[in-house]
Formats: sequence, C-alpha cells, structure tokens
Amino acid sequence: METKIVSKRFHIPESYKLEVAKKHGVYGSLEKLFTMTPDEVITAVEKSNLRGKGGGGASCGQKWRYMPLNDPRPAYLIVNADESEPGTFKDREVMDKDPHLLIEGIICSSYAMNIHTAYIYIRGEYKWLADRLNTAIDEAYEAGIIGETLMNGACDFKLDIVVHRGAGAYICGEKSALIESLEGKRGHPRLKPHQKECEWYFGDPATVNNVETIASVPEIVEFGYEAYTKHGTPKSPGTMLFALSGPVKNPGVYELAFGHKMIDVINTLGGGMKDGKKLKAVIPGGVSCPILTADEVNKAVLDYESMWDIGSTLGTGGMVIIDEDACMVEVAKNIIEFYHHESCGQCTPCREGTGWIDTILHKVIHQQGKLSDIDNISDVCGTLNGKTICVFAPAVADIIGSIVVKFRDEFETYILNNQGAEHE
Amino acid sequence: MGIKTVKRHGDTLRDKLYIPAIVSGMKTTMRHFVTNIKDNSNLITKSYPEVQPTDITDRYRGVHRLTKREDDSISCVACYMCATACPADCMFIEATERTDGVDEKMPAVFNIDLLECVFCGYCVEACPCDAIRMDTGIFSFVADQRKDFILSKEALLANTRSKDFSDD
Amino acid sequence: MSNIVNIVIDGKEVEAEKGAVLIDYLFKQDIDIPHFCYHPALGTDGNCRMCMVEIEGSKRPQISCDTPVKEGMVVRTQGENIEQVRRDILELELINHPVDCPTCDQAGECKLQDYYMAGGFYESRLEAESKVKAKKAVDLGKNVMLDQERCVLCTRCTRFTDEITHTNELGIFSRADHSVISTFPGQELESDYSMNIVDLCPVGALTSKDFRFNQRVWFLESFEAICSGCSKGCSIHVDHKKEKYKDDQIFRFRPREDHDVNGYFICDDGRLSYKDENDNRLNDASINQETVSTKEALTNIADVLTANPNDTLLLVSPFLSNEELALIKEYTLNNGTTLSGYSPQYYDESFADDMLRTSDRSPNRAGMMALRINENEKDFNELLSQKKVIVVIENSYFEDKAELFKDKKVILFSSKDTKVKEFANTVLPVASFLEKDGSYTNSESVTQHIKSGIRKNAPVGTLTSLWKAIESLSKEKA
Ligand SMILES: Cc1cc2nc3c(=O)[nH]c(=O)nc-3n(C[C@H](O)[C@H](O)[C@H](O)COP(=O)(O)O)c2cc1C
Ligand code: SF4
Ligand code: SF4
Ligand code: SF4
Ligand code: SF4
Ligand code: SF4
Ligand code: FES
Repeated sequence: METKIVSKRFHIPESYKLEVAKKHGVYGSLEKLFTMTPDEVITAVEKSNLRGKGGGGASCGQKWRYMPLNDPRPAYLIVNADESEPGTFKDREVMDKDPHLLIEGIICSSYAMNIHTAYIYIRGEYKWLADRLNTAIDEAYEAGIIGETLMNGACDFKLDIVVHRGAGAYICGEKSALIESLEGKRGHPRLKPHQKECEWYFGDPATVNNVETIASVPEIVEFGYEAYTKHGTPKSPGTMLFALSGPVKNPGVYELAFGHKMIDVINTLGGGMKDGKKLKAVIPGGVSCPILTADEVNKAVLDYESMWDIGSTLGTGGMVIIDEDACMVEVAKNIIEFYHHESCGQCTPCREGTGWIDTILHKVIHQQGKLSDIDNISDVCGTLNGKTICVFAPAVADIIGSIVVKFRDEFETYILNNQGAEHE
Repeated sequence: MGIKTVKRHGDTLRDKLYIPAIVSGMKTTMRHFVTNIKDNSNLITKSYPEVQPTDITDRYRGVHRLTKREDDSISCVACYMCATACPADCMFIEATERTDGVDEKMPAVFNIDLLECVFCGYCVEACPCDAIRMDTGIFSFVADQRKDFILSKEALLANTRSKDFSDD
Repeated sequence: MSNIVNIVIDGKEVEAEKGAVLIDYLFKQDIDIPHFCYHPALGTDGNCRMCMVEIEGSKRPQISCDTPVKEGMVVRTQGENIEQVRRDILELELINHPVDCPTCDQAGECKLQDYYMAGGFYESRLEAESKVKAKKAVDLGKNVMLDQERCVLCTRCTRFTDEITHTNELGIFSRADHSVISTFPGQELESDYSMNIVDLCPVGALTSKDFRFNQRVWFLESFEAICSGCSKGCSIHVDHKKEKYKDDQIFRFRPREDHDVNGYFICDDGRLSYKDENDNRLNDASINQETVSTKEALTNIADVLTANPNDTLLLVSPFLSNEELALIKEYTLNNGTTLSGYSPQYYDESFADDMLRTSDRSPNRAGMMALRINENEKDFNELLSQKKVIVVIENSYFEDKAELFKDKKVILFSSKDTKVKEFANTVLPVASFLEKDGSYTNSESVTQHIKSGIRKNAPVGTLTSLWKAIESLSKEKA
C-alpha cells in the first residue's frame, strides 16, 4: 500500500549519518540537477504538480515562480519545520531519519530559485532535531556538499544553510509569522498581499516551504516529473506522509500515494481500531480542519479534491482517530484549549473568540452549561470565519464549528445530564 | 393637526358678578370653622414642627446621602454622572486618586448646595454605582446661613437611610 | 488624471484615487466607519477587524483599511448583514473589557462607547467574573498611565513608538486574550512625544497622568489655537471650562491635525505648556509698586509716552501677534519712538529635534521679521543706553537683568507675574497668549489665526485694546 519516496531511507538504521545515507543514494539528484537550468528545475516541479505539504496544498512550482527574476536583492529559502499542529508529526520523521534528504531538497530548491542562503525554522521543542540537523549540515559542509561551492566544486554555487530555533509558538508555523519571528519580532502573521507574490524577509524576496515539500523535490529532479506524477491522482499527484494517531493498533507515519480510501488506511496500515472499539470520528488533516463522522470516513478518499468534496481538507495529512469512548465535548474543549493558548492575539475575533469558546466549554464541563451555549459557540465560530488576518481563526471555526454541528446531540445530552443544582 | 376649542368658564352673568361665588366660598369656610371650633381632633392641618408627619413613603425624596460599600468605604467613584444629570447644576465634585486598592477614583470634594437643589432625584437615577440616594427621610432641612446649606462629602456620608423606611 | 476612478459608496458615486486606501474615502464621505487600529499617521495594521464593509463581488466582508480603491467598486457600509458583523466583532472586543467607564478618563471620547452606542446594544452574553484580568493604573513614565484591561490591542501605541519616534519602548506581551501592552522590562517611556499615544489610543487604556481625573471631557469646551512652545506653532485644540462659581480654566491641549504644520502630533512640552496660561499670572496694575486701577495706569503711561517720544524705546517680543506688532510699529512710525524686538532669551538649541521642535521657543519671530522689526543686538544695546524710557511689552529679556534699568523709567506690559515688576515704574497686566485673538507666523512662514474662546470672570485687557486706549488718551492731551 505504501509508496516510499520521501520515506525511502526511513527504515535504514542510522540513515541520518552522511556515510549511511550516501550509500543509499542521498545527493543522487545533484548530478542531474547541475545539468539543468534553474528554469528547467522550476518547470519540472511545476509539471510534477507537487503540492505544498504544510497544509495549504498550493502548487509548489507556481509559488516558486513568484520569486522575482534577476533581482539584485539576495533571496532566501525558508524551510518551515515548525510542525506544531496537533496530530501532525511527519516532518520530524524526515528530520530525524533522513536530514540529508532535506539538505538535498534545499540544494535543489535553492538552485532553482538562485538562493544562496536557506533557513530552517524549527520548532523550539524539537531541540534534538535541531541538533541532528546541525550535525548533518556540519557533515555536509565538511564533505564540501554545501558551502562556497556545491559538491566540491561540481557546481559553482554558494549555499549556506542555517538552522533557527523558534520559541515554541504554533502561530510561527504560519509563513508570514514565521518570517516576522525570523526577523526577530513577535510572531504576528502579516496581512495578505493584494496580489500573488513571494514572501519578504527583511524586504528581500523569500519562499517558505514545508520540510516534506522540500524533501520531495530531489525525487522530481532525479527521476523527472513523469515518474512523480505516475503516483497518485491526476490532480493530486505523488505521495504524502500521512500520520495516524489515536486509538488505532499501529499509529505512525506512512507514505502513501494520493487516492487511497481513508478507511482502508486506518484498517490496514493502522491495523484497525484498538480493543475492538468502534470508530467515531476522524479529524483528517491535523486538528485544523472539519471533523469527519464515521459515515463520512467510510466515504473519504485521501486526496485534496475528494476531501474538499466531502467538506473537509487534507491539511497536513495528520489523521486524528477518535473512538466511541471519547466524549466530543471534551474533545472540543481539549482542542479549543490549544487554540486559545496559541492564538497570537493580533486580531480581535481570534484573540477574544478562542478564549470565549474556551470559557463556554469550561462552564459546560463544570456543570454550568446551558443549551444556549451551543448556539453561542456556533455564533462565535461564525465571527471567527473569514474575518481575520490569517487562517488560524477559520481553522478554529472549522474544527470547533464542525464538532458542534455534527455532534450537537451529544452536546445537548451532556449539558442536560451535567447541569449543576444551581441551574435549572 | 386640528385645533380643539375649549369653552371658557366664567362667562355667565352669575360668574361675572363674583358675589355668589364669594358667598358660597364663605359658607364652606364657616362650616369648617364651626366644626373645628366644636371638635379639633380631626384636623388635617398639623401643628408643624411640634407634630411631625407620619405618612412619608419610601419613595419620598429627602436630603441626599452617599452610600458606603460593604467595607464601609465610600461607594462613589466620582464619575460625575450625577452632576451631569443635575438640572440645577448644584453638585460640586472634585475627583482624586483612590489609593486603598478598592477602586481607582473617588471624590475629594463632594458638595451639594441644597438651596439650589430642586430635589428632582435625577442624581440618584444617574448614578451607576448606587452611591447616592435620597432615602434619608430628611424632608426639612434648616440652617441659618447660606453656607450651611452646602452639604459636604462628610455630611453626606454621615446621613443614613431613614429608620422608617423598609429595608429593601 | 487617469489615476482617478469612480467608486460607489453607500449608493453615492465618489471619485477616488486608484490604489488608495478605501477607509480614507469613507472618512471623506463623513461615514463614521468603526475602526480602532487604522490611523492615517500610522497606516494600516488590520488587526481590529472593525472597519468591515461589504464590497460587491467579494464573498466576504472586507476590512476597508486594507482595501485598495478599484474602478467601479461598489461599497456598502450599512445594511443588516454588515452591521451584524460589526456588532459581533464589537461584542468580542468587549467580552474581556472591564467597562469601568465611571472611573475611566476616556469616557465621553471613547471609541468603544461610541461604537456601542451607534451599533451595539446587544444583550451581554458573558459573565463579568470570567473576564480576563490584567494590570490597571500602570505608570509608564512621561505622564502616561496604562490600564491593560481596557486595551483593545490596536497597536497604535506600539506602532507610534516603533515607527514615529523610533524609541521602541512599548511592546505586546503574552498571547491570545492574555496579550497586554507594556514597556519592555526596565524601560520607561522616554520620547519627548510620548503623550501622543494618549490621543492615539482609541480607548481609555492610555490616559494622561496630567489630566487624570481632573475633569470629565464632556464638560470641556474647545477652541482651535496654536501652541506657543516654539516657533513651529503646532496646531492644537484648547480644552477649557468655566465651572460654576469658578474662573475659566484650561485643562489640556490636544494636537490638531494640520498638514501644513505639525501633522497629527505635538510634543509633550508644548502639550503641558497650558499650565503657563493658568499659573503665575499678573493681575494688578501698579504705579511705583502701588496697586492702581487700569485707568490710572493707562493715563500714567499715556503721559509718559507723550512727554518723551524721542527718548522712548519700545521692546516688543515674538510672543505678540502680527496685529499687535503692526499696531505698535505704526505707533512708533507716527510718534517717533524707537522699537526693538531683541529677544535672544527664547533661543534654546537643546530644545530642537528632527521632528517638530525648533530652537526658537517663541511663536511669532517670523511675523516680527516680516514687519521688519529690528532685533539686532548691537542696535538694541545702543538704544538701551541712550533712551530714558523703556517700555517692555511681553518680553522676558530683563527677567534677570534688572540692573540695566538703572536711571530709567520703566513701563511693563505683561501677562505673567515677573520680577521685573519690582523695578518697573508702571505695570499693566495684559491678556495672555490664548486669551486674545490674533495671527502668528511660524518658522515655516505659515500664518495661523487664533480666535480665543476663553471668558474670564474679570478679563484683563488685551494689548490691542489697552494700546488703543493709550493712543486716544495721548491724542486728547495733544
Ligand atoms: C496557523 C498556521 C500554522 C501553520 N503551521 C505550519 C507548520 O507548522 N508547518 C508548515 O510547514 N506549515 C505550516 N503552516 C502553513 C504555512 O503557512 C505555509 O503555508 C507552508 O509552510 C507553506 O509551505 P508549503 O507550500 O510547502 O506547504 C501553518 C499555517 C497556519 C495558518
Ligand atoms: S487569526 Fe488569530 S492567529 Fe491569525 S493573526 Fe489573527 S489573532 Fe493571530
Ligand atoms: S435632586 Fe436633582 S437638583 Fe438636587 S442634586 Fe440631585 S439632580 Fe441635582
Ligand atoms: S454619586 Fe454616583 S453618579 Fe455621582 S459621582 Fe458618585 S458614583 Fe458618580
Ligand atoms: S475605555 Fe473607558 S470609557 Fe471606553 S468603554 Fe472602556 S472603560 Fe468605558
Ligand atoms: S494601549 Fe491603546 S493604543 Fe495601545 S494597543 Fe491598547 S488600545 Fe491600542
Ligand atoms: S481599522 Fe481596519 S482592521 Fe482595524
């Protein structure tokens, strides 16, 4: 069932070491890369229809085209390794098991966009991964793979890679907040530009890409986009690292071509539900997207378009499985606590709305809920949706709103059964 | 809009002569005079101030008082809402920083000039803190100098709710 | 010209500049679109989400502070939908707000209050006890008080210290609804323009320590004037009030938007200079230290002037208005007295900066120069040694130089109580800078007019009226 492209070396012991990884083909794409022009690389990535794995699913090649050509300013590649979304833990696998693949991807991408400095912005809590990356980068410098030239002079192209540790804010995964943070400021997302353009790091052009996206590039360079698009569906070609968590027998990260049925993945790779429990719901793409009920899970197909069609998104591919024992009120409370804690606090609806929902659910759980609270939560979700600077707030509206709508009965019963004496 | 014409009273000859009206008025006066001379126990007029009224209702607006919080400190936060509402412009407040941590602000000066006050009660209505009330039951306030009619913050705080009023 | 396009705002066709920010045109149409974070001086930040409008063709309401004007755009600021959106956001803005308007100095000029009164009026859905608590009454230094609970996190203040003064004292701390504004650890506000954040703050989170609890703003009356703190002559609003049984008193200055002069801001020194108007005033006329009536003093002055025109030096100052200077200059021309505007004491290099403040701490030197009133030091010293009668008019030059008056007859016109009074033969109080009408020309040759709104219980005469009285008294004599 699995299609191993990014994860091809994950099973090899000590594959994070340069010598081991090298034996198994890392940096194999570079020879081909140096025969291509940067434009050819971008075209290949465009044609491969590689889509961003950070949650948005936008075409990577198209995004690279927004980088201004022949610009005198330095350009930057910023690799987004902030992975803080609950239920998403795929990037860490890449950095843990195959950091040289990421470096190889950075080389290909930087070459394509004529970038000489790449940053890896890594989540603060991933200290051991930052160390691992730094070790790998040191190895690469020592081996002459990066530095003043690439591959010991095989290509006269300077490239430096710098690992920057964040301070542990989820919002710094949002690309513009990430850049603000990298610039040394508070991680506040910026207003969306009015036209499609690249990002700006200290006023210089920059591209932000997810770890997995970058790690997928060498495959496309080495074997051509045709080989890549053979996998998956026509609109969602290639593979993606899917993370399974929750009460399944074999939780973990699995690389799959797009187009598999979600329920099959849960039952085969995931090994089915633990202890014979019934599946109740799945949050498909990290917790930031609408929840799927068991019925919907049976219909769900793992590619971008199919997921949109059933009213959710593929997000980061991190599937959070929920079984029949779970109380949806508590699930909602757990999730909103996270968002309440992580909202950057910049825009009013998100700053105050996440806290308000948290307060309401706190009341509900402490025996002081009223039926009107359910509508109040839906109302606040309405205000969170589409009225903020970044998509953090709409994501809250998506997940909390969908839980409240799809499991409304459960909320009503919970409130009616758990009303304290002081309430009617 | 139409105009309604109201007929004037007092147009008849009888009315214009006055004498019949005076006579009928004197008749009433004499009747009372005679009854009261015979028995004065039913008199409506009181020998004030020896006899004090007993039928004042809780809604009666007497002299103001400033209320206190549970910890016995002043409730008023010197927001000037009362002074803003006051049609007689007879409240003189000066605010100051409150440093005991209970609130931020309180009046340093709070004077009401009772000679100017029209006892409308707007100040009571306006107060967002229930800090001023007119439930002292003091309906007659006397002094022999103008300046004594100006009640200070201390005097207003010393006033209490009338004992005759119910407790709610 | 091709840059001008037509847009429709609430059914009205309006010309607008392509690419400009839509909210500016809403302001121009006198539409009071709710907004907290946008400020023309600070630009767009887009965080408050209050300025939402409906734009035909876009699915969702858009914030007008970040919407560029496009040809044919149809904008709606009214209607049930958009008003509901606004109400929802306002409700969120208020859920953690302490609403302690009774103790809040902003009450009466608070945007939260205004917007609630204009479009709120919903039933509260949040209990007071679940509100997030934060620090109140924090002294930020430089006359600014902070109440973190009242803050709506519009970041106008931080953007001001970051982008306008570049002093970077303020930041946001913590996240989500625990976010608060504060100075960075160990720092205080230090800019000489700090108090502008009090005006910028749309709510009562930042208030002036100087004005704190002094007056409720709705009692204040206001007139437009300029600041006399330096030759920039920043445009201001003078907020004053004549309370019952008291005299008219100035409570504060606020900057007045004026793109020819100061833009949106004024310096703190200028702002607090209102105190000079209230304090230290000269009230009584006197002759040889004996209090006399104004009439007597006037007659005395007229006598002295008509007796010694050729032996008289009139010393005016750049604090006088163009009209006053012209009047006195004309008198000099007609009567053969001499005139000087020598006033070096107002120069203070340390006051100047690269924002607004200049080194000349007087408001009308340019006006004095335009009238060609001589302020040459050598000429002045020469005249001073020759002339027997010195008439000092609102000029503080002699403040610590009374010894120069030896063997002279001194006439003093002043609005301030000054030591010079003790050495003057005749003293006459005059109306102060803001108690009179007049025009002033600033260092950039912009002439502004003040029409005073102050009504003192016992007004002292303006220099113009007094001088005219002297002139007619002199004529009677002649
Ligand atoms: C609230 C929020 C959190 C995000 N967190 C991450 C993250 O942790 N890692 C990531 O790669 N992208 C994250 N993103 C998506 C990024 O903004 C951005 O779209 C992505 O890094 C682009 O890379 P891609 O095109 O390769 O997916 C987040 C977005 C939002 C709105
Ligand atoms: S939506 Fe939330 S996280 Fe995003 S910018 Fe606004 S406050 Fe910050
Ligand atoms: S009762 Fe009326 S007139 Fe008297 S102080 Fe109150 S508001 Fe003013
Ligand atoms: S009495 Fe009430 S209304 Fe008057 S100042 Fe005090 S708190 Fe405000
Ligand atoms: S800022 Fe002050 S005046 Fe405005 S609503 Fe809050 S407490 Fe009231
Ligand atoms: S203190 Fe005032 S200006 Fe500063 S962010 Fe808060 S509300 Fe805005
Ligand atoms: S004024 Fe437009 S978002 Fe604040």
